[in-house]
Amino acid sequence: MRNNITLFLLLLFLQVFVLNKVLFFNYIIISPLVMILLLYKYEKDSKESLIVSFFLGLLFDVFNDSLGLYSLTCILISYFRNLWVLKIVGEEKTEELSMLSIRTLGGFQFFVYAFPIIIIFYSTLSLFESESFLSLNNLLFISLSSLANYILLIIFQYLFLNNNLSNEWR
Amino acid sequence: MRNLIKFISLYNYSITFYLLVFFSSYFLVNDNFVLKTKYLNSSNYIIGTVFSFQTSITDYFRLEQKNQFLEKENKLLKEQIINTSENLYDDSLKNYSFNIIEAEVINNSLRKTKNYITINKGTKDGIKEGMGVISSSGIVGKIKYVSDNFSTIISLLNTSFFVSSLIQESETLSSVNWDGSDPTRLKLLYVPKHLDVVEGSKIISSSFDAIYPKGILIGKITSINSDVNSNFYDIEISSSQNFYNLSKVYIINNSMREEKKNLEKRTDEE
Repeated sequence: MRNNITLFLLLLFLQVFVLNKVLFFNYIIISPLVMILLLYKYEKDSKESLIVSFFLGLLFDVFNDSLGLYSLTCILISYFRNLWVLKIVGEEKTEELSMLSIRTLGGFQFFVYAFPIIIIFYSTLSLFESESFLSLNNLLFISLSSLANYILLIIFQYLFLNNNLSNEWR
Repeated sequence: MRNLIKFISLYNYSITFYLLVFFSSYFLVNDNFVLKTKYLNSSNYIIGTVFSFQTSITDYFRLEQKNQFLEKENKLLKEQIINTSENLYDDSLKNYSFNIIEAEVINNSLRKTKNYITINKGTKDGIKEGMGVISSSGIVGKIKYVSDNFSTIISLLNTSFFVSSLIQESETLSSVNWDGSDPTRLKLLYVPKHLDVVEGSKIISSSFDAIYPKGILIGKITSINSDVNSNFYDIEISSSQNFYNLSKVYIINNSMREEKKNLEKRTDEE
C-alpha cells in the first residue's frame, strides 16, 4: 500500500512539474496518467474504478488548467477498458488476474490490451484540445505519443513492478 | 418503487458512468477558468502556492541567465531614460496614461492551442481583467481572470487571442494571431495584397485596442505568401517574445481605457 502511494505521488509529481511542460521532438507528450489507468486493478463493472479515474483526472485537470478534459478522458478510458478486457481476455481469466500487466498477460495480449486504450486516450485529448483533429500534425502527435507512452509503460513495468509490488498495486 | 430500485441496482455501473460523464462534460463546456475562479478559488490559492514554490526552486537554476537578462534590460531602460529626458516636453506626454505593475510568472502552458499563463499578482496589487501584459522583449498577452493573489493571462499563444498591430515601416494596420502550431511563429492577418510588404519588417502594437501603448514589439516578418486565394497576404512572423523562458512580466494599466471604450460604445449605439 505504501509503495503504491509513493509510486502514485512520484507519477503525479512527474506529470505536474516536469512532463506537463515538456514536448519531446515537437510531437510527443508523455502522460503517466494513462499508465496508472492501465495498471489499476481490474474488476468487472467496478464503480470504484470509474470514480477513482474521475477524481484522478480531475486532480490532473486542476494542475493543468483544463477542468473537465482529463476527467472526461479518464472516465471514457475506464469504461472502454472494462468492455475491452472482457472481449480480449475473457471473463474467466480476468477473475484470476490480480493485475493486467505484461507479465500476467504476455507480450502480444498486453499490446492488444494497452495500445488501443493509449490511442483512444490521446485521440480524446486532441479532439478537445486541437482545432483540426484530422490534420497531419495531430495524427503524428497521436501516433508518436502513443508509441512513446507504450514503450515507457513496458520499461516502467520491468523497472518498478517486481513480483511483490505487482501484487500490491491495487 | 421496487421496480425502480431493481432498475438502479441492475444498471448502477452505467448510471455511475453517465453521471460522471455528465459532470466532466459540464466542467469542460463551462469555460474552465470561469469555473475555477468562481468555485475553486481556494484550490486556485493552493495550486498557486504550489507553483510559486516550484518557481522559487527552478528560478535558482536560472540565476545566471536571469542576471544577463537583467543587465541587458537595465541598459535598455537607461537608454530610454536618457531619451525621455531629452524629449520631455513633446513625446513623453502621450504615454502618460499608462501605469506599470511588475509580476512573476508562476505557471506557463505552451503545448495547448489555448495557452494560459499564471502570475503571482492579483486584485490586491491593483490588477483588473482586460489589462495588457508585456515583457522586456514584447507582448505577452492580456489579463483574463483575477483572484486576490493570482491572475491568469490569456497568452499570445492562444488561437482565440488577436492583437491589433502595425507594420512599423508603412504603419499598415493589421492583426496578429497564433495558428496553434509552432510557439515561435505567429500569423499577421488582414494585410491587403496591393500594399508592398518587405521581409524583416518589424511588427509593433497599434494602441487602437487601448490595451497596449503604441510601439511595443511583437515580431519580425519572416515569410510572405501572396499565392493565396484571398485579398490578403499570408504572412508569417517570428515572435520577439520567447515563451519558453518567460519569467518576469509587466502589466499595463491604461487609466483612460474605460473612458475610450465607453465613448466608442456610445458612438456605435447611435
